[in-house]
Amino acid sequence: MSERPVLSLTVLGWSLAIPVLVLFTLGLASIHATDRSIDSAAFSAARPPAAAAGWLERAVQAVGVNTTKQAFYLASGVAIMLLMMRLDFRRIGFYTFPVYWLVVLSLVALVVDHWVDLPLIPVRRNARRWIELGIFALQPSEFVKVALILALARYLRFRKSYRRLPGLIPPFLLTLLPMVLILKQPDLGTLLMLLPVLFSMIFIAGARLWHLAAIVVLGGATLPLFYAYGMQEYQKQRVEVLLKQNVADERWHMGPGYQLRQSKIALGTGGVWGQGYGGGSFVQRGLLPEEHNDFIFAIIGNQWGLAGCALIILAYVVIVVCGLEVALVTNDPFGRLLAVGVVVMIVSQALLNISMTIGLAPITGMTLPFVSYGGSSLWANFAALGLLLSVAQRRPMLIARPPFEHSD
Amino acid sequence: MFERRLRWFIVLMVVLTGVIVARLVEIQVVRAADYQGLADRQLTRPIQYLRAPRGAIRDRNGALLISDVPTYDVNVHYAVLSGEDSRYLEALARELRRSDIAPKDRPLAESVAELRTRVAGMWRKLVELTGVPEDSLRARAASIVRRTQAMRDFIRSRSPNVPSIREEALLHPLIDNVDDRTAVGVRLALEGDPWLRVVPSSHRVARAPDALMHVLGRLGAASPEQIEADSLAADELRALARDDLCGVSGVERLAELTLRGTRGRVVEDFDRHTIEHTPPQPGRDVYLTIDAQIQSRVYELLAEAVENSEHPAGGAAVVLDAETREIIALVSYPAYSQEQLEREGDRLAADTRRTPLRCRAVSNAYPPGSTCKVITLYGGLAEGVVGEHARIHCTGHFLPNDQGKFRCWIYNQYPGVTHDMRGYPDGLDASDALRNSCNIYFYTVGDRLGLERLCRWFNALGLGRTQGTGLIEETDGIVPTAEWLAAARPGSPQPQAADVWNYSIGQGEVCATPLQAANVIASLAEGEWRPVCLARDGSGRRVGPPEAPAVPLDERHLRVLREGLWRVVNERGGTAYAAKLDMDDYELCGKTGSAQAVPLVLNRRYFFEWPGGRRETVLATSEEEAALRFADVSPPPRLVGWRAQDRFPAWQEGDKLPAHAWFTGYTQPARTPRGARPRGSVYAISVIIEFGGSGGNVAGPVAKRIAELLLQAEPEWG
Repeated sequence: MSERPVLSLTVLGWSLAIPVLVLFTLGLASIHATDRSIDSAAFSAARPPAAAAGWLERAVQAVGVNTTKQAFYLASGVAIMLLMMRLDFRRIGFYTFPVYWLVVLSLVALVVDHWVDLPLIPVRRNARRWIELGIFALQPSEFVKVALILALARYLRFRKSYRRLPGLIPPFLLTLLPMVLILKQPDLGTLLMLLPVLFSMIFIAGARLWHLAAIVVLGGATLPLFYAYGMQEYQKQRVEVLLKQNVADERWHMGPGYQLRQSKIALGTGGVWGQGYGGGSFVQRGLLPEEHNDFIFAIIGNQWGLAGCALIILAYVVIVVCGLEVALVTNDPFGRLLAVGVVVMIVSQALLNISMTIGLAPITGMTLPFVSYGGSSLWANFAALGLLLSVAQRRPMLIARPPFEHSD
Repeated sequence: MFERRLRWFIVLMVVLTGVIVARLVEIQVVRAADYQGLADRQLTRPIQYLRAPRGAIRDRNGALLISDVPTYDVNVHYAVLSGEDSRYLEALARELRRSDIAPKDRPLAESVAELRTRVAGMWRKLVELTGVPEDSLRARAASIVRRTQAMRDFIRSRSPNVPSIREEALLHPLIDNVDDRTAVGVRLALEGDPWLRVVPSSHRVARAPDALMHVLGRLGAASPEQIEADSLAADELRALARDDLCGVSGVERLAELTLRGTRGRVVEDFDRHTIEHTPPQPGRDVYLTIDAQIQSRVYELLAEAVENSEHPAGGAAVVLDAETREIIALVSYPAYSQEQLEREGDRLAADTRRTPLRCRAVSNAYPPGSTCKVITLYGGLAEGVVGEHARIHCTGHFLPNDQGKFRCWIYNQYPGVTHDMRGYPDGLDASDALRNSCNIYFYTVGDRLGLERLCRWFNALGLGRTQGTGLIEETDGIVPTAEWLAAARPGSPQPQAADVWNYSIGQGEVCATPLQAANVIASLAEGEWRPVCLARDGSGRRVGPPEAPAVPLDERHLRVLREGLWRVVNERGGTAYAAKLDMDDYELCGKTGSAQAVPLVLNRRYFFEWPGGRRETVLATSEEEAALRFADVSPPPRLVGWRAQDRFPAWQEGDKLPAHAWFTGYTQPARTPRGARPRGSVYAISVIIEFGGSGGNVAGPVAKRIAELLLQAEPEWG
């Protein structure tokens, strides 16, 4: 087997780099455009005048706090990506489960904090999602996605693991364990994100369709139960928001339906070509909550209109196509599952985030990969991308039939 | 197999992407305008309306009677008015941070604390600058808070889910009627306080003499019914809104649509940049046909006459320009001043004897007495039941076998004397009958006419219907037709023969207002009945209801009447000879009346029965007032009856009824041939002095002085 150079940009191709570049450039620009820290710094009498501060502080004030942070996350994210790319995916198999358990352990710590006050774990927005590490906070639930992909790929690489029903139990347990832990945080969006990853991986890997169908039906049957007992009042309300988005009652739209309608207004006022960088006055007035975060897609739609939205979607399409091409070409089962898992993770996050922004899915705390503000989410996505590239860069000489090309 | 599964996966992706793109197209292209509209609404502050000054009311010469004077109001945010309530202060602090007025990067508690300090400073400075004591400012604030809370409680009682009402986040007028200097001072000193605003406002100031207050009427807060019935409701800038002042009586109400201005409108975005600024347009002025000077002088004459009468209660006088039917004076005595009304309105309203708030000239209907004999006569002539030269004997009493009833006034006054004995051995013809106001003649004519025809002529000459001023106060009076009697006289719903005899001399149920009486006489002078006119707008268009059609009268019959009316005043021995003018160029023609009047009931003794059968009496002026006594008792006792307690004039059963003194007449140039239609300077005058006694001796001289006043003053305003 001939090895290609380990760090070859040509092999991963600009085809993956460009869409990611587009995504995080648009994201960073939007975060800068909506960075309120620039404004309030200018008006605040409480802060020392700019001249008295150091150059770093002045730069941060000029660019904006969030923008600076995001730029740092991006830089470190790219570093993580390059690091992951350097790792040979064929040699990390042994470490997958330790990594998985490490992440699960951090989730357990977050759950334990409910009863025993652990250090470094703050309660924000009534949720325990973060582990404070100095200047930034890690969100273990973001890394669970990557850890789960690794663990599932490791487990499913053998045919016997998924062609029989009992063999499907471990992957489910592997997925359910972090899901239950995340439910306690709570973080519904991330929790639901794990299911498509699991399903697509066992589906692509080649689990028997009737097994999958049975599981889907079973899962579907538990949904009402989940709605009735597993979901909190505010989570149910979000489903209600989705269903009632066209009611005429203005009180509803100023209350529970506020976020969704503001998001649609931001998009709607963008029109086809958008209001230009910085957005229209609707955005400038800060009338869209979570603008730099979960609802950054609405800001992009406001600034660059339908064209900008289409560009974002196109970028994801390119990532999917290239990622699946990687999966198709590789002859290593672990690598193939890894590639599929990463693609599914990125694209399902993107789909869910966009859907909730435009009122097609309930609003859950879900970031838009590579675009939204947030360190953990970026790092996890870049790490996953690094894994994908690691597979991409180690293309096999095609001698034999690729794996999984058996017929049922 | 992997590839096949991959294909499925790709199909799923394509479908989901398609759905998302379709939805994006819907939001960003198809419904973009809807969302733009929603955004605009959130990007602009609520529309502010600027109050428009109300038009002025002027008299016929343009003299200002009442007008809006620009002043300023100091408006303060509800949170500040509510004092120490930190809930509202927090809300205000949050709003200020949201609008970038207060820094955002501090804890809210700090902002609230700072707000509290600055608010305390504001109260101190306000007291310094305006000179209003802090106690009264606080009291005013407390009353605003009370009113708002009451409103909120009311709204909550209907829809419990309303967390707060609009008024709890608005500025309310704390100090009104602030002059320019103070306004500028407050503005400069408190510029940095965004919860305080000095806004232009206005104050309605009456410059009119008290005599005009009834006619001008009053402003009041628009009631929900008025807001609903407002004919400009569709006009955003002109419609009545809650808390608006609008005319509730008098010309203020009559000319509401002319006087009301057009609001200004200000639309601002959240950075206080103006998007739209439409200045308010003041309402148009209204010109009364009344001459304010004449009105005041007539009021003085009337006041003198009433106060010198035996039982001073009140009176009214009306002057019409007979040719145009413009009201030159519409006087009711007693009246009130704006200041009195504001200070002691309750006392004025409670005065049941003098009723100073009533515009007697249009809203009180009195039995017209002999003044309506002109209508009886005209009806008789027009219907042909009596000829102008036909003579009727005055026998002293109308019923041959009953000397006690339906007597002529002369027979009453000098028992046994009849007009036949006083120079008319052959009886009286039409003109003689008017001159002497012979009851027997008119009983006879009325009897021949019958109730239906008599009432028809009453009505033709304007009785029983409004005269077209459009004032809400104007009453119809009563023409007691058979239908009216059936509906309104439960004791004897059938018309009796005696009814028509009574009505033909203006006694009994028939009632006319002083304005109606004046218009009757003006109609006789001018040859047709026409509606009157009280107000015009700047372009001379009449303000008021649509004009009722004119009723032409027959000049042939009028000649007889005019001759009789001339003789009443100008012949020695006529009943109003006391009213003959001391002028060479003009003369007065007219008719007296002394209408028997039922004394006023000043208060009543109401009898209530408790469920146990125990009775309780309550002294009150009205049933409502009496019922108030038991407002907090449940169940209240039952009202079983009432009896008059105090009467005015004091009167016992069996006493002779007191009489209202009437005079109605018109002026004419002295050269006018007898019976001809007068030309130039024809003013119709009606005067009534309540309980004044003899029309000829009490009301006639007042009319004479009014006529002299009019004819001497004429060059100034004619």
